[in-house]
Amino acid sequence: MKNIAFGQYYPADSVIHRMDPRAKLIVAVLYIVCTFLCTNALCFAVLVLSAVVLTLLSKIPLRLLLRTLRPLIFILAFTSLINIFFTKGEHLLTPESWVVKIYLEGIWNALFMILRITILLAATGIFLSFTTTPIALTDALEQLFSPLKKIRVPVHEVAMMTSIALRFIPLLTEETEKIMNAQKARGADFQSGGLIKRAKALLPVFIPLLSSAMKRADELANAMDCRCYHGGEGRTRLKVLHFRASDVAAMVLVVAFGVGIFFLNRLGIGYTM
Amino acid sequence: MSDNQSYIHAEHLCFSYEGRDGEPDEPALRDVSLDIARGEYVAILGHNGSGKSTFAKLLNQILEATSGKLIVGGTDLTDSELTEEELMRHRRRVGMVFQNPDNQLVATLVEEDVAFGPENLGVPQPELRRRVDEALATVGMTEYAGHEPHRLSGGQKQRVAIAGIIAMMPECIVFDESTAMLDPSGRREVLDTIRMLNREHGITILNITHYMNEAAQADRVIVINDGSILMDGKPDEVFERREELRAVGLEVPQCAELIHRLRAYGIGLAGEGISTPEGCAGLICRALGLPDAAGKEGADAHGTQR
Amino acid sequence: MERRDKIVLEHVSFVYGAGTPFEQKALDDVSLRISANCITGVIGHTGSGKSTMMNLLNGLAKPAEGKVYLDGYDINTVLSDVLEEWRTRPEYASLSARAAKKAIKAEIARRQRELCFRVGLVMQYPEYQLFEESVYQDIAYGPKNMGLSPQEIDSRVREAAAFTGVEADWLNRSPFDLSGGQKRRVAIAGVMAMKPEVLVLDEPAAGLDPHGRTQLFEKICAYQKQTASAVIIVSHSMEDMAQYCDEVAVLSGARLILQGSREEVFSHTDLLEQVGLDIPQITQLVRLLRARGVELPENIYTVDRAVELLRERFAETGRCPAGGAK
Repeated sequence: MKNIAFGQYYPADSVIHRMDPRAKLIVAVLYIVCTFLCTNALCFAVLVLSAVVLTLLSKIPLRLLLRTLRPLIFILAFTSLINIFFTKGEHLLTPESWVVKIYLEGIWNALFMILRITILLAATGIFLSFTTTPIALTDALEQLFSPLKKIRVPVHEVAMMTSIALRFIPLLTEETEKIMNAQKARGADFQSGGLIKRAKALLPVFIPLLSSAMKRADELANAMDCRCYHGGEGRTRLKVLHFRASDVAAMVLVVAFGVGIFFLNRLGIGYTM
Repeated sequence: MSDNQSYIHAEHLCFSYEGRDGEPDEPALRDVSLDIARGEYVAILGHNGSGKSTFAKLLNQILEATSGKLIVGGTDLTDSELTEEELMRHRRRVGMVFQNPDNQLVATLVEEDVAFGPENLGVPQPELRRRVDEALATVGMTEYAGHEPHRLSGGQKQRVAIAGIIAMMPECIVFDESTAMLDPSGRREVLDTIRMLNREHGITILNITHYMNEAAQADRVIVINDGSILMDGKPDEVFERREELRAVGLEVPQCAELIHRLRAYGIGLAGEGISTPEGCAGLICRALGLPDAAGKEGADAHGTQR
Repeated sequence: MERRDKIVLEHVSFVYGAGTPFEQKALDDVSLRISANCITGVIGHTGSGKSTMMNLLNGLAKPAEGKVYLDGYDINTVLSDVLEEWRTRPEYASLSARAAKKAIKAEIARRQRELCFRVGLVMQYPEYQLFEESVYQDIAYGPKNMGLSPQEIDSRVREAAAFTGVEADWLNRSPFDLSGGQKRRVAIAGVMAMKPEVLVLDEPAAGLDPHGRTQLFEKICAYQKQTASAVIIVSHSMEDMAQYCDEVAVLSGARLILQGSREEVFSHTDLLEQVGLDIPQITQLVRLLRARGVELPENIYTVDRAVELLRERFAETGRCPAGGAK
């Protein structure tokens, strides 16, 4: 457990891994916008093609990407069914006499919807969760949103809290395990009984954990004070993010792709939603 | 100015924690007066609850003295008009390493943690990068720059914490029981680092500890009991006073214990060197009338404390 | 005194994160015998596998290979044993498959807990496990889980409190109001109150000052004598082990490298030093003296013994007054 980095980061050396996290964030947002621009079959075909290329570029195993879809299978299935059964169109597929009527348009719509959600998730995976460490992401968000500091949005504070949380998650996980074992050694029973009994059985874990977390917080605050921490003002950074030519190129590319999709969409080739 | 001679100057220093009812508790420090010179290596000994950690926390204004005077590196910490900026400047000069290595590392990567202090001070690039690299090299952790702190051993984590302080270019480092949670090899790593910082970088060291063997390594030992100073002297001098130490819950190292017990049998073992195995070996050899050359050598060398 | 095995480990291996890229062997083919009615020290460097080993003793962790016996009974056969036993019961035939499964599961859990009560584990820094409103209730947590009567619980709490030096007037206080050393004693009392046949303590004195250390070890020794139970102390301090343990096992790099009586084990100072353990200061001094020609045996690891032998040396040279103080 302690050996698994928090989040889904998949360590590899790819073009996408090497991108500036801010660029990745921007590209991801723009790419997701592109998926919403698509309304016809040709566009979707291009989109799927681009997603395949991105997956290959990122060196992430397809199996891992698809796994992120698993929790959504039920929703996907449910909305597809609704689309299939409740979309009215011109091409009726079922015999006239049937009570349930399925139109070709419904099937297309369901397909588009599935593709859109899949690609949306794949894109966040490829650009963000799988190729960017949570801490790099925090840095990127802090720097991208830093103009908001002017209107008193606590951007630095939020980023600091996030990074400290990330630092302490593995520690606290380990500690939870340790305390659970200690209480089990005193005969604690976390498994049997109903919900309330089980929740009660967790008190001997929860209370020590809380008290230790408070102690840690206290000591950490002292240590930060001693190291002259005084908020984000006047701070410099060891790792300053720099956009490189490749990052700029990626952003230009995604904008161009978006424009392309936009016009391609207007041609209206294939079924249109 | 007295500042030239003494780096830390405490005069009638008192401190009480606030009790539950809002009234001050029993004082944790009573009337402590002492002077520590620039570049000295001082160990502060005492059992748990003796007030030694409270003293450490006053040095960096984590706690504020109830009364008395405390001047560190020319900054009067007991001055009620001390500004936030002055305090920052002071904290840069007097670094602090705490007991639990996990609770003082802030960042998720070693080098970013080392950079945390200088970042707060607004040190610009490329100076910042240079300081981080140098600090990591000083404590011998360069190869771990890109590691996550939670995968390091206790001793390594403490060295990273020390590097984080060194990167702020301090004049003095206070170690508040920094070895208490480490295993013997981790403790050795930290102690070797402390000694090196003192000898080679001239950093004033205050090591607060309850390990006698650690105190033997310092130039000077101050024993605190019940909030006041009980002894103050060289390790050899302090370890001579075994009975008094025992009375306040401290024990002399095994070698010193041996010498004391042999003396109790009337064996003449007078002389210095009681605080290290080498010194004790010298004492015994001389008393046995064995060749003194080796003994002399042992007594003079300040000894690697293992 | 006749030596009897309380716990036996046979070719035990344990692996962390099996099947992941982070796989790590924590114990490698360890065979170890722990005697009843004495204090056994398990020493090793951090990462030597000593803490892992103690987790195997009460069945909460299972060895990847090998067997752990308690009084000759393999503690990890719980599952197969329960199944067998249940099959012979008359009511088994009448139960539905689901009900039978449930009953068997409950029986396994019950036995697992029973094992925890027989082999009491005190983890490192055990004060972090305190959670009850009062010290009394916290010590009573284990006995309560055992389902004992209130009178029995009460007598056990008081007895255990006395063992570790938990004073009577702390019992009604919140454990969170005590000092670190006091909390430690409460936590240890909480395990002693279960009256385990084997008490395992992981670095019981870590972080305590010298006085607190000595006191705690003396209390543990007294507990062992009084209860005649098996006590296992896991530590990296040879100085403490040399003073308080009857038998010693040494782990290094996930393997058992030495085991035997204290005298036997500590005669291998060179080997112990090689595996990164800190040999006691007194042993270092003896070594220095030997190098300078003082006639002393090598394996001296307590101050008492060193005093005794050096007195003889001084007496031979006529430099020690006869009789003497003390």
